[in-house]
Amino acid sequence: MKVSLDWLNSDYVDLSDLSHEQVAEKLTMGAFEVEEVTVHGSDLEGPVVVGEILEIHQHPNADKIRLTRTRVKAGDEPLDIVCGAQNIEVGQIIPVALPGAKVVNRHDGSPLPIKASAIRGVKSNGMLCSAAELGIACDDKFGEGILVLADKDSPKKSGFTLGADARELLQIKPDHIMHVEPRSNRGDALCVAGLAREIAALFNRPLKQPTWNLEQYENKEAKVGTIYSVKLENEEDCPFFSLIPIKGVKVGPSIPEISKRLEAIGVRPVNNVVDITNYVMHELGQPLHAYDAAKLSGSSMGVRRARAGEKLTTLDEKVRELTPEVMLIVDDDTAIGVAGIMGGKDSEISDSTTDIYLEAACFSQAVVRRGSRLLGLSSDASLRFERRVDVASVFHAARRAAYLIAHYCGASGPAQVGKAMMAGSDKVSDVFLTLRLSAVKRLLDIEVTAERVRELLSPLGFKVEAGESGQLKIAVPSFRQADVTREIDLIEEICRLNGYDAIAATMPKGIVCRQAKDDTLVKAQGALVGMGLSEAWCSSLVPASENGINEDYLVQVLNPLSKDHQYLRQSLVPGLVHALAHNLDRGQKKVALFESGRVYFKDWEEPAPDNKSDNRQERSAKLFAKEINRLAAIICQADKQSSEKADFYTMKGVLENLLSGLAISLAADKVNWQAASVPGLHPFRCAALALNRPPKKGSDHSDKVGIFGNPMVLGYVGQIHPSYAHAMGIKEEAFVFEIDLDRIGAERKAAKFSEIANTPSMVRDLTIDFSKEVLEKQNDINHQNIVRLIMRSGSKNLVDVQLVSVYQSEGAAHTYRLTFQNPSETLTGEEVDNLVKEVKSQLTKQLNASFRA
Amino acid sequence: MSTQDLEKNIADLESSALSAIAKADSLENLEQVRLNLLGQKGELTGILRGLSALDKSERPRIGQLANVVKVKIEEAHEARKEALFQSHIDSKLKAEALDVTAPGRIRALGHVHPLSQIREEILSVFYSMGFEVADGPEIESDYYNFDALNTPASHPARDEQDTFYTNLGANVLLRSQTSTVQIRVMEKNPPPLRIVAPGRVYRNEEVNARKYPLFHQVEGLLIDKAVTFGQLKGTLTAFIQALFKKPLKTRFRPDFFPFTEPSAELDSQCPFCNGKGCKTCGGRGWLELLGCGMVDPNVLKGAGIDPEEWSGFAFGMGLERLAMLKYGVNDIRHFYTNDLRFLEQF
Ligand SMILES: [Zn+2]
Repeated sequence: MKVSLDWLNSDYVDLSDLSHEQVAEKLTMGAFEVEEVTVHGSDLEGPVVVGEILEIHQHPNADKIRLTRTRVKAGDEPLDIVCGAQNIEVGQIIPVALPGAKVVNRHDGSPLPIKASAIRGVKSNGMLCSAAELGIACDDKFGEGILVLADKDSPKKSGFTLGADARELLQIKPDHIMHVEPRSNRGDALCVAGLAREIAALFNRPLKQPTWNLEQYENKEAKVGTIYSVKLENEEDCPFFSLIPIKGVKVGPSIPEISKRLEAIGVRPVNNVVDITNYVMHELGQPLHAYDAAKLSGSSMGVRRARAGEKLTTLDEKVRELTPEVMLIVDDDTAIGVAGIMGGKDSEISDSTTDIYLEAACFSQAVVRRGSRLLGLSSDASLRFERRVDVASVFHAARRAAYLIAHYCGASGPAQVGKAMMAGSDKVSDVFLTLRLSAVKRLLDIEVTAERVRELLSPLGFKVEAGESGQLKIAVPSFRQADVTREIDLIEEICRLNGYDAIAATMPKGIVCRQAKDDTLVKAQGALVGMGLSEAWCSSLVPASENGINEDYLVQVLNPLSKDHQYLRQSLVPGLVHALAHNLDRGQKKVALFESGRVYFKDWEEPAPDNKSDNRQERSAKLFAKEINRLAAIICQADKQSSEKADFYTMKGVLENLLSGLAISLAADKVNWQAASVPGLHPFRCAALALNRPPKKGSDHSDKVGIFGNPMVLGYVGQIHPSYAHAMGIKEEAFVFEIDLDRIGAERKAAKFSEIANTPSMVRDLTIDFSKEVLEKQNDINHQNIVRLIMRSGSKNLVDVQLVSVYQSEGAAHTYRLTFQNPSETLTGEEVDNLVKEVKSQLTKQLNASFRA
Repeated sequence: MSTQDLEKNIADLESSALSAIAKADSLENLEQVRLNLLGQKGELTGILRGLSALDKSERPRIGQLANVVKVKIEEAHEARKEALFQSHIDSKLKAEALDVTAPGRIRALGHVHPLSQIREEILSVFYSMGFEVADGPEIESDYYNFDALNTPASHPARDEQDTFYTNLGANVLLRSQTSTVQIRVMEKNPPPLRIVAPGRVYRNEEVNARKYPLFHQVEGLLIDKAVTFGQLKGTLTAFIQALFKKPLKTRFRPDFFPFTEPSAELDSQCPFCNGKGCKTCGGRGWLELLGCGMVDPNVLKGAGIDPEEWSGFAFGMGLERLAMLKYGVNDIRHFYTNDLRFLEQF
């Protein structure tokens, strides 16, 4: 909302001793944030003075231009000034812009510098000014001709001093326009008078009211048009509706005072009648509408819901398709406007209008909001109805507008205001609240007296009465009955008006912390960053085409922003693949990224619960979907020359390192690796890491959600499938892993010390051969099975087995380094030899291994 | 051999040996000299061995003489060896000289995302003030996102066009604020409570440099007996000062949120210009950092907490906004594009 400081100051609250910065600051600190202050009407510069026309002669070379001799200082020689306006006469007092001044170009509003120059061969030493040229009105039609300050024989004439500053005289000074957005619950402050009430309270100054008197123009007998009653379909949609007939108007431009104020706040003047409806809306916050009585033919005007398929052309000349959610104003049954939003084209005020109906009503906030959204149409009126207008103030605004129209728009003398027609009720019952001074003290920790409360709240229209000891009975004004309904609302008002700054900052007492911060994520970030990976944050809203989406358990956004943000992701990998493609495209050679975040599945255990349960424990325990914390990483090395390779084992190593860092045991008796199949990954370069035994809790098993459907799976590692990579424009091999952070978190073990053995350890290298035939016959020959068999058959004194090398030609030769140690006594060479012998025999027996001599 | 001859031999040997030792120019040469003199077949060894042929009366004197010479030779040898060793080391070290200004051999570290970094900083400050970290679902019901937060069905914030609704039910949406976590925590745990809840939220807004359909907030809640607005001011001022590591002034500006009353917008003195006015704060000297307020009694009641016995305050801040201010990032989309040239700056 734009508010003119000048309007506030001259009509409602005296702010003349304050700068616009002071007013804006006070409002901002009083819950009405001033976003911006702009200056309006500061275009006038240089000498603009009061002058008197002494002589008028015809211009020798032009018909429509005349030559004046105008005196701009008593006793000085008059100046030759050329003038094109037709309304000048000898003896008039007029404003004169002298050379060096800058006025307003009346054609386009641009600055117009005044110079001594020749016009059609005759020298001119300045310019006689119209209202438009002085910036009082923007369009010449409001100030046709030169602005006459006093006529030849006017008694006022003697009050003017020639050469005086005309700006001062006309009070032409820049106005400051504040851009304020009252909060959504403060519809009452969405106007000059409402904001003035706040300003008066904040500065503790008296609130003024403009004076006017409608009775003088009222004529109960004045007959206008055919309408003699108003009726409502229901009073929920429209609690109160009023229609005032006005007879004998002449439509034309507004007086400068009104058009100037409207222009200052960015409202385009239309004509005197419409301008007054806009003026009063901005002044009092009540939207109004004027109908040309001659264009209506019914006997009654009313409010009803639209019928499906009904159509109406609105003032903006668009044909609107209506539905029963939209409220209409009707002439008998014919739609003539969308209630609370915009009037209809057919009944609008035109130059030939003579009699009008002035509508003022209160419409339902919700119905106007829904209609406005539905039609994609919002207006200054709908904005105000959505924020709530005060039903008790509707008729006051109607009378104010009727007064202004009668006063300023009469065809000959003032127009006549007929008997108002009304439906519904604008009566509002009193609302009393109880305020305990102890409650103010308890929440705000400030001491306030009943007197102080009265001082703070009365300027805002609250009536404060003493009640029981320490309690006050407070009557809420009608315009605040929507947002002030409880004691806490009064406490907020006291806090605000007394000033937030008046409350001293203290610290809460006591410490409450039941649980240490989970460090899984921070540890994981540290480990991965240490291994050269950077952290990515990808969107959790993804397109439907994303790889690996499982439709059965998809969470879908019903009103997505675009197709790219339609679904909730089920894996972190696609986001990282996108990020990889983005970085490769921009010339990066090595890309190593990770992300931790949630993935989302429709619940496969139970249907979404009804959240209206009244049992809080039950309600808060229920979730609507499975939200699972995952961590994933991607690496890709596009630089073949680099010494830092990136292959499947690099990625697996990163994962193993990460898990060790998180204190996850990778021992053979705890976990196992299995070749796995994951959509989007290379079918022969993918492994899943799983627990050997199911975890204690978590039975959320569903094969349909992919590899993590098995509750024992902690994660997987693999290569991006070449065809997936190709589709993403990735030419290099890329490797990923993804782990379930919730499951990992549950498996983390606190470190535990075990005694360090002091006996010497003995090392034996063992090369195991598998013939081509054996390898073809047996598909269980892999590193994991070999190591498990060695560990099982090497006794408890075999403490470590490491792979040294794998050599593949016809068959395969695996070399392992075995470390033996008995913590309590030194092993002999013979004992170790015997253990190795046993290992060899088991390898031969179970895996058909052979050994060289 | 006569005694005199022997004495002369010893004297000659002394002078020739000392000169040979002095002339030895390498450890190898010196060792050869030593072997020639003192080795099994060395000259002095030979002389000492010949002593047995002497007359008994002469033996002690000549023997002592020979021993004195032996000690002299040995000492000279040791001294020479030490000197040669030192110069050997010196030249070896010189040969090993490096260009110490050449770059170190590193394995590049990765970078933690700026939003993670700022989230951790925020959580750490509140953790130090006794706040626990809490968590809640992103897929929520309208009850937790609106009703329980004192936002009635007629409230403009509930317009469908601002919130993403899902296929999981007419009332199931993507939360538009982390305030939902307040309610779930209050329903599950009895007061007193101190929690901070970081998380992702969603709003149906066109993508531009300032807006993205998802972003991140940190929500906070403190419920206890006799919690006052002054304590809200104190706690959040302490937080701002800890976050920016400066004794910045704060300003609480009245505002309106459905779930707190009184509500405030917290402005901090701009940490970049200390309030003098700069580009970041638009010359105002103040930065709007977070929203806060006293928990509305309706919210407490709805969660089963008696507002006459308990009171509290809540606050919420946007991670992206804070990160954009702190690091001077001018486009919110940078946070989700994951361009390494961006990530590597943090
Ligand atoms: Zn600044």
